[in-house]
Amino acid sequence: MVHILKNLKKGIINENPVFILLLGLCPTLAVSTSIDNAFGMTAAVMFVLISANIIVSLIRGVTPDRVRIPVFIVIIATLVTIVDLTMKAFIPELSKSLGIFIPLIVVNCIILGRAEAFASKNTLADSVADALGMGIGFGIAITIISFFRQLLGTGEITIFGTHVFSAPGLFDNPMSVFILPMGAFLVLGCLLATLRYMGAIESG
Amino acid sequence: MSKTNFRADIVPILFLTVVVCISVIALAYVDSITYEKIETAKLEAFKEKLSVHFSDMTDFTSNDANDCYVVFTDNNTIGYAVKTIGSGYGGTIEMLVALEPTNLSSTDDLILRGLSVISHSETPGLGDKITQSFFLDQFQEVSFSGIELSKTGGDIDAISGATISSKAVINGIVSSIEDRFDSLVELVSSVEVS
Repeated sequence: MVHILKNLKKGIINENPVFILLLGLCPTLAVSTSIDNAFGMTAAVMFVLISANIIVSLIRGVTPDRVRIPVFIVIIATLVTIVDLTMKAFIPELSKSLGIFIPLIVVNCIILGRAEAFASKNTLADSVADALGMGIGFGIAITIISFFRQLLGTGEITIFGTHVFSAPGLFDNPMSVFILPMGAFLVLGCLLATLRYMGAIESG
Repeated sequence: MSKTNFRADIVPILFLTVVVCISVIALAYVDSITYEKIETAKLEAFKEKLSVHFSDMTDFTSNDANDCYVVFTDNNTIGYAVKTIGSGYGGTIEMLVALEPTNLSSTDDLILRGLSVISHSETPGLGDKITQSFFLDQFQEVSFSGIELSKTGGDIDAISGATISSKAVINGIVSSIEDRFDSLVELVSSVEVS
């Protein structure tokens, strides 16, 4: 039990895929223009990550070592295609705004990384905990980044069409640079620097 | 080749083959469930785009290339629509131009009823303002010859900060309509005959 909690927590804090391991940055930077996108991307990544870890962990005893990477990729690609088709059928709006980054989850290194480094060597329960932790960690990171980008870049926060608040002054004169790709790097850089600084203080 | 070596070679091949087969079956199953939903969603989305301009439309017909449309209300033609493609700052801009049911002897007769953007990849916050009504409304009740930026004598004001996107919309409309005018005429006459 302690084991499982530890595996869950590790992905969220100590080994956060985005902030600490710096994995999966391409979709993180590209789709974090709005909180809606962040939630949609998190849901898709979580589903693929958890399912891939489950399957990889279940077949870890019988997978021949020499073809393990192709096998993992086929499994992940299948799961991603399922997500892509389901999104197109049931939530076409979200599928449109996430665009190419859903199919590109196939090559997202968080997922292949967890399959290869963790699920192929650990039990089912541990692998699920690991996937959940990594998924939540990814979700928290991309949501924080898109919160700042949406706030600074458009001056208002809306979640699924519901207006949450507008920043006075910013709304009439938003800093559009934060919506552009460059803004993603700025926000991520500042967040990483802050986190490292806080970590350095904590460890003395 | 010894027997153990042969086994070590064939097992990975068989394993990968089995994995791929299972994945193909799974995908075929998901596709069979979602295919129709995706097609209906696409058609519905398109119908909605058309009905923005033709609020009383009941049906429409398209040509084989699926880029020209005739819109009906109970068998009366109430207008035309043409899909147009512009090349913007971030990629292709796909638009739908709604046209009044004028006679079609030349492109000069065309009067735009409205414009909507089907898909684009312009910069959020800048170029994507081409999807906002303050820009799109300028295309209502404009003659085809007026589709030009106001600084070069036309009727359309560019979006400040997004001149490339604005120009892409205009160039896309003009060139696509000129290209597809013949197919539109053909489609309209085939509808009238039947």
